[in-house]
Amino acid sequence: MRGSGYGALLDAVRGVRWPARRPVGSAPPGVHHSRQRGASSEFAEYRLYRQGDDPRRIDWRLLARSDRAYLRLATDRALFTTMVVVDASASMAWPEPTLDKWRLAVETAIGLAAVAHGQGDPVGLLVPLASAPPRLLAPRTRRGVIGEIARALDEVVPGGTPALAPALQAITARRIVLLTDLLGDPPTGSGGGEGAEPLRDAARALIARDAEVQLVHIVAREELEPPGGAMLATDPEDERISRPLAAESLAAYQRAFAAWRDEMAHAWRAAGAGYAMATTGESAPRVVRRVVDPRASVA
Amino acid sequence: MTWLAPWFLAGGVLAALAVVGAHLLARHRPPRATLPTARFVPASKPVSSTRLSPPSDRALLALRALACLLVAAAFARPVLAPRGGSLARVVVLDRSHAVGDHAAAAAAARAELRAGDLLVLFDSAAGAPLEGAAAQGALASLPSTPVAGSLSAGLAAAMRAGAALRTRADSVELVVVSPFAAAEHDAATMRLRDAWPGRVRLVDVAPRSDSLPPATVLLRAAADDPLRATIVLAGLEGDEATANRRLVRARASAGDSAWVRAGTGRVLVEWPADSASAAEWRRERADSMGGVVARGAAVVAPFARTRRPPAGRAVARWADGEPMATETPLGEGCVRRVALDLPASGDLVLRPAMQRLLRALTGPCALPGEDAIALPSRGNEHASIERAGAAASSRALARLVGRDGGDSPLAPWLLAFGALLLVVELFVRDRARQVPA
Repeated sequence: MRGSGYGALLDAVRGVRWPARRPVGSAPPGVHHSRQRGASSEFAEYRLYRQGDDPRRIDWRLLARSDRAYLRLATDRALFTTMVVVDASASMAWPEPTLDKWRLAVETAIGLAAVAHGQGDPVGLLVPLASAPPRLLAPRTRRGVIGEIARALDEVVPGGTPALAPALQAITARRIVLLTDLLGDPPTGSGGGEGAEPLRDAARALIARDAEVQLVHIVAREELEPPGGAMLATDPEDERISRPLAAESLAAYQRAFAAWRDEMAHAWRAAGAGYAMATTGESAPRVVRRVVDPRASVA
Repeated sequence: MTWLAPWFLAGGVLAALAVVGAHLLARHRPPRATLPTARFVPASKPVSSTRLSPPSDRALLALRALACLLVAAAFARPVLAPRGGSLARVVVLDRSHAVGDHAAAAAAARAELRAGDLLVLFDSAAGAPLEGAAAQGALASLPSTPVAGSLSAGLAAAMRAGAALRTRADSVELVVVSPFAAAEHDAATMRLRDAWPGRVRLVDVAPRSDSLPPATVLLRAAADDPLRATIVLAGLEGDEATANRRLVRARASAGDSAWVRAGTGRVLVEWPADSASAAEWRRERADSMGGVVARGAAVVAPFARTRRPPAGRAVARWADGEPMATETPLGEGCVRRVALDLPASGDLVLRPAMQRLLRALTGPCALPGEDAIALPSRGNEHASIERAGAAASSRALARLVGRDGGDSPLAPWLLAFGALLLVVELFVRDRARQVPA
């Protein structure tokens, strides 16, 4: 881990729970509600004995009272494999030189990984890169995996325009956390939202496979309130997009950006994903708590 | 300090003012900065016109203005210590036979001549340039020469004198003191005038009064002689008492010779009407010729060439250059012999060209050095010189730059310093454009 940079963060998220939004299907025993009925102490329901059931699960006291054979069913608990995917495109390496967007994404990723790991879930990392193979850490539950994730993220230099959507297709984890500003792909429409379609389609495919997708939309405070004075705003991922931003065009810019954020939130939630916006300047533990709260991130 | 081309300095000041104006009313691009959400900025032209008040980038503005001024100063060619006066003159004085009052001409030249100026005297040829006391002495005792003048000779000598003055003065003016008689003008005159890059001033002096005598001709010929009509049409007809030209259509008599000797400037034209009356002029082999020319008057017509005039100064020639008329002095006049057979039929003698030829053949006696072939009229010649002066002044700048480029030792240094400032301006401009993202 890089110095003591993440110590306070890990302390702040210790004890935080991140339950699955829906009962988990077939999975090894864990802390999340499972759709399986097992033999745990948490009673769920009775079911009539059927041929082939284990006779040891028959509730003998109920049989004595009712003269009928029932099985006592209990809610099962399952593990929830979590993969943290971080966008390392050039638009995340902003604003220079502090790289606040990237720092917030990294800290939030580590915080979420720590929360998942803390409740016994396997947690992994995927960082698609523009000019190199993706940085991949397979989901693990062993000790030290959070440190490995932190070191891997510290080694990444964001830049270029890596494609997130193809990387998502190979993920088999049950929970995928996406930390991105949704600006990685070049826009194909006038509103700017069309560029996020491939990523959203990939997320939709994961959701269809019974995975849980959580989007953390990273937005810089300077993007919401650009610094004063006229400037020729240039997209770091596409220099062809270079437009003058002055006082007279600021309001129009803010309106367009806000409309696009609303459209993204609505579209991702409609696709079945969780959506949470994180603004630079917020503390990473606060973002983590908001993300793990199922009431706050799902429409 | 003086400036050899001060108009460049004015141009440089205007350019510097234009730079300042453009800086204050700048169409500038805003500083470039990265913004990941730039796609949400409304698309518009990335240039805006703003009036900068107070002006920004003052160092850049000062550099640009100073560079303009330095380059302009280099082209203006400053001279710290002028080597001579700002203006020197070459005074070209006509002392030929065409000048009516040589004292008046000398006085006019003296009025133009100042210390450091050069005086060139010319008649049919030009003398060496005179300066200072030598020039004043020459003007005090200006000798009149009985030869025709040549403006071309005077202009050629003036150009040599001007080249000598060029190293001592900022500019050189040419002053020509002459009556600008037709006899002094030839084909080279205007070309020489064009070659003079600077200003030319013409000082007109009175021509010699007898140089333009009203010619009247007494014709001694048969009543049906064809030249009689030509004389009438040309307005040359005179009587026994007043005529100063005598045209004899036979051989001249002793009385005719005596008549020439009796007066000044009298001209006897001996123009036999047929070959029989001048048997000794007969050519060995007669042929035909397509034209004759005399003193600028040309007649193009088929002539039978059966005679050759006696030896003398040629005053008219056939188209192949052979003399058609010759002249020999006699007393204070001259005898002119014309060997031209007029056609027996046709209206040649009535044509204007024939009238001009007759005027030329009955004109005043030729002067030594006079070209008898081409003589344009005097009235047109003066104006044509001035027109040439206007045309030459428009080309003077280009010629001046080409000839005097190395006169200012400061110019290359100023130019180099101006170029250096422009290079520095590039660095300053690049630094000014660097805006933190």
